[in-house]
Amino acid sequence: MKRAIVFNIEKFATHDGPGIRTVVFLKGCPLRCMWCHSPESWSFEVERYPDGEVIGREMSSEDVLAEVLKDKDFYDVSGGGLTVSGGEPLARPAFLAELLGKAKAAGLHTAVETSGAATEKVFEPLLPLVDLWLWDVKKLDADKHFTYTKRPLAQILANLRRVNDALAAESPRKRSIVLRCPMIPGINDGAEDIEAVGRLADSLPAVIELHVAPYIPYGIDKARRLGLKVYEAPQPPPEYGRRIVAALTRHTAKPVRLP
Amino acid sequence: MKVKRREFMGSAAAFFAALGLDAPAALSAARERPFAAADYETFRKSLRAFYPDECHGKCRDPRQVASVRMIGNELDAYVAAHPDCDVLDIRRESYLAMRRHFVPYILPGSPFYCEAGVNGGWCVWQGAESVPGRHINRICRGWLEERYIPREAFARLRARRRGCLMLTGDFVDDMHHIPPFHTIFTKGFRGVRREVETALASCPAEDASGRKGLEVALVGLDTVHEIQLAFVREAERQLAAVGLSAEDRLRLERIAVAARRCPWEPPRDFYEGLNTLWFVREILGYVEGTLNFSLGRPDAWLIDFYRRDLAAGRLTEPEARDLIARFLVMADCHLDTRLEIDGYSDQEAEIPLTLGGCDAEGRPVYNELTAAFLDAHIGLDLVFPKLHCRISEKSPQEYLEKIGAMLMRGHAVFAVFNDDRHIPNFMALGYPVARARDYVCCGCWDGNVDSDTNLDTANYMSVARILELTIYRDPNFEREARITIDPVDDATSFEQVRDIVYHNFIRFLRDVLADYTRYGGENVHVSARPVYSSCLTGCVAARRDALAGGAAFSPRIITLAFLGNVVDSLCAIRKICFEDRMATLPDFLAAVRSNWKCPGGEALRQAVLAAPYWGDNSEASNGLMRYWIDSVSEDIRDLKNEKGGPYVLACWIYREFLLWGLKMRATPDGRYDGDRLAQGFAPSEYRCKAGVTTVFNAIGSLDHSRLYASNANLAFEKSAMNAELFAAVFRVACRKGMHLLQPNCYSVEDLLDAQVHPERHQNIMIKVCGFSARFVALSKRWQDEVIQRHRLH
Repeated sequence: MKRAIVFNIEKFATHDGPGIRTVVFLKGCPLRCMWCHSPESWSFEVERYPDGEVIGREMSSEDVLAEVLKDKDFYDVSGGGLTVSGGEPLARPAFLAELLGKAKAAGLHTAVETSGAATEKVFEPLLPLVDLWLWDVKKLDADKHFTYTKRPLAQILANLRRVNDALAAESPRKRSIVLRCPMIPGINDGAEDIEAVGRLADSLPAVIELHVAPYIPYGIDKARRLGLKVYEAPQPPPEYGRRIVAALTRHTAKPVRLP
Repeated sequence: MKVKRREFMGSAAAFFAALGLDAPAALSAARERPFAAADYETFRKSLRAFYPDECHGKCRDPRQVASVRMIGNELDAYVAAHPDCDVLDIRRESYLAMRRHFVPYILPGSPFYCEAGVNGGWCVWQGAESVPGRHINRICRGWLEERYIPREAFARLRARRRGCLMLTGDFVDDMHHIPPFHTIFTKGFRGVRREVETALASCPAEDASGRKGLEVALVGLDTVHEIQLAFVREAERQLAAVGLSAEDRLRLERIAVAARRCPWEPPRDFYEGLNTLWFVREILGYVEGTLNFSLGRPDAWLIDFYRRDLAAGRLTEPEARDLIARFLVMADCHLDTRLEIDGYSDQEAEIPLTLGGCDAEGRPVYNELTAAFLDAHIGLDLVFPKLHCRISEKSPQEYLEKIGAMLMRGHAVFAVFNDDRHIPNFMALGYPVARARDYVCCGCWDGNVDSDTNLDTANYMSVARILELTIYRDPNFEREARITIDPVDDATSFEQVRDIVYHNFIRFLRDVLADYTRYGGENVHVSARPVYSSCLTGCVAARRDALAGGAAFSPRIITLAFLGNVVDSLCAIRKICFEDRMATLPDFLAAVRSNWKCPGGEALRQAVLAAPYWGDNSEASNGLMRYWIDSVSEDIRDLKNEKGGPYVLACWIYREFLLWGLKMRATPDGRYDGDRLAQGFAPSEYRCKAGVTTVFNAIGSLDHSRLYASNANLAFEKSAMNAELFAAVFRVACRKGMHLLQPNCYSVEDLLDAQVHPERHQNIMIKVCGFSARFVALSKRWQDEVIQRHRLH
């Protein structure tokens, strides 16, 4: 049985897929997004904050599923289920596949929150196990994408198109993609950025929706405690998110909303 | 030209057509709009003038005060002249005096005839002289101790009440009665009278007391009829006034016609149905001194009348909306809901209204009346009536989301009852399925089958107090209250600690129940209720008062109060003293007794706060809660109360969680001296960090079929919720088998701002415990308590 380091299990999650969900956060991420709000997820190892608080514990897929299944009544009445996030869940593909397989066998709706940064072979076994891909779109300029995330955009876009093509070929369509757009003022929210995101969404039939995720500075304190560095800026006001949604709506036929 | 009285047309158009006039356009203008508080300001003012700024809705009209006093004087004179009289004699004289002195009030703008100035009997809290039917309690109450119940029994009862060990009446609960709506809706008071006459005719000669009870019931029923007809005369008197507006003429004509008939006869249209709900509540409270909570289930019971009246042109939708608005505003105006709330029952009008649920065939009830009542309640910005919404897992989505939407707007006035739990529980007690499905909600959180049940519900037993006494021995109090407490200090295992605390409690409880069984029935000698009893199934046939066990069903509800604190305390003791062995039991108890202030005390307390607790869904805490409920229910399963009915369990609490908490010393769950206690199945506020699903799963781990009722007063973080999510949460609550949810939904930021700028947040309602209130009306200590509540997300 596969095991992985889990650093959080969030119950009654309502912004990470449809209905009421449980989000399982896997530790470890190959990206280093400058605006990351969970720098404690970067390392693949169990860590401690200086005050001794432990970040992460090793769990088997069976243990994780047992925890997730405690809330099955909530999923059943709301159309919710399990979301696996991180870190980057695709960095633990074997564990992810095993967990999602167990979840599907238990009748759960499944979602994966991902940057899409993984080798091509990771995706095929996961395709039948993921009902909803929550796919980050961070910056559609290759050079700047690498500057801001330390990972190449080309690989991510290639993976996105492959997954899209596989899902779009299903008949009837059962699985889908939501593009998640972190928006950081002055970094990736310019007119060109927004236009590019809209074009991308419209080019992908399996994309059903776009979610705008305004920058939140929740990672600053955690980064400092761990001796890491993240982008530091004030949280934009609520109208920022609404403005981005309105702008993006003008450039895509797909629904756009705040999660 | 006069309208033919016997064929009064309910609709304004028909009324004026009969007069050969066009209905004034202004008459209907207000009724065309959705419910708006501004449209009823004049009506509210007239009601508020009748009920001045006073708790419990006591009327101060001089005629009312004088009439109640005259009735009391006449009764006192009768008793002085007849020293050998019994309670039935006094009841008879009371009924006769009421015919002479009853003052019928038809308040300005009110379309209803029901007002007797007693708020359903609830204003007895202002003194027995407030309610004519309670004079008998003033006169006869001392008889209980003088004639029927040993003084030592009273002494220990009083000591137990004084010592915050229990809340109870004089061996019965004399404070909660369900109006017998089903009886009156099906038979009318006249039908009840016929049954009493029949029973009297066949009453055996040797049953002198049964015969007397029936004879006095006839006198009382005829008094109810006289009171009903007094409203006819009052309406006609007001109709004779010069310069009456068209609207007032319409209103009074309708009263003059309907009051000739109903509810002596059962209601036959929407208007009569609405009026019957108020009339039965108020007039039985006046006549019998019963405290009549509940305004019934208007959406379930009146929907056929409503649709027929609309189809026949007897009623229009705007007129129905106006009647609904006034029906509700009457409840809200018994108090000034903006006055400060601090004491035990400040601003408690005890007027609940039941909506939703299912019909006799089990089909969901959610109809145009349900929606109208809900819309009116929030549109008119009401606190009362309390909304008791019955739901099931199969409730229509629109209904559940409507409740959720109201919560999202800060209108937390709900107790949400789970039919999927209550109905099977009633059937297990023997109620026929159709009656079980028709249950109403009475008081704060009791679901009950009206007309078949004598309700006895306010019997709260503080399990936490027994725990406290186990830790802090008080031999004087133990002697006064006649309780035996074994100490735990020498216990060598956790199971020993658990068992000692349990046996201390169950020994106390069995003693209390033995007193109830032995002495509760004596209350019939001091507050027999012939009229009320004649309306309950079983009493007439058995020729026995409800207090003597005549009703078909007579459960006594025993509340296990503050179980959350007890479970948390035991979890802490197990972890600290017997698992982690951070401290010996004696050292741990010493830290508790020092209010955690001894050296190392606070460190121990921090360890306690990290231990399992009720609500964390751990087997440690779930198992202990199950242990308590299962064990107590088993230990009292075979006991019968004084009426021959069962003792049944509940888990809820009123304002005692704060007020008794103030008097309780530190406890092993981490409470300091004076800290508040836990409500019902809600986790203790000191410990809970869990989310919605964890708490629901914890509550769902219990066998709720062992409980007659329970409550979970839970606060939801506003930013985490919406109407659709509330609907999902309600369905899960049903699936988990919970009896009752009392949801709040707010952001702490709003409440903190409301403390500084109350004028900006007048409409935030909080379900504090069994009552709701405007947040800004709560005193600071109640506001702070609400702000500190853990919000589920």
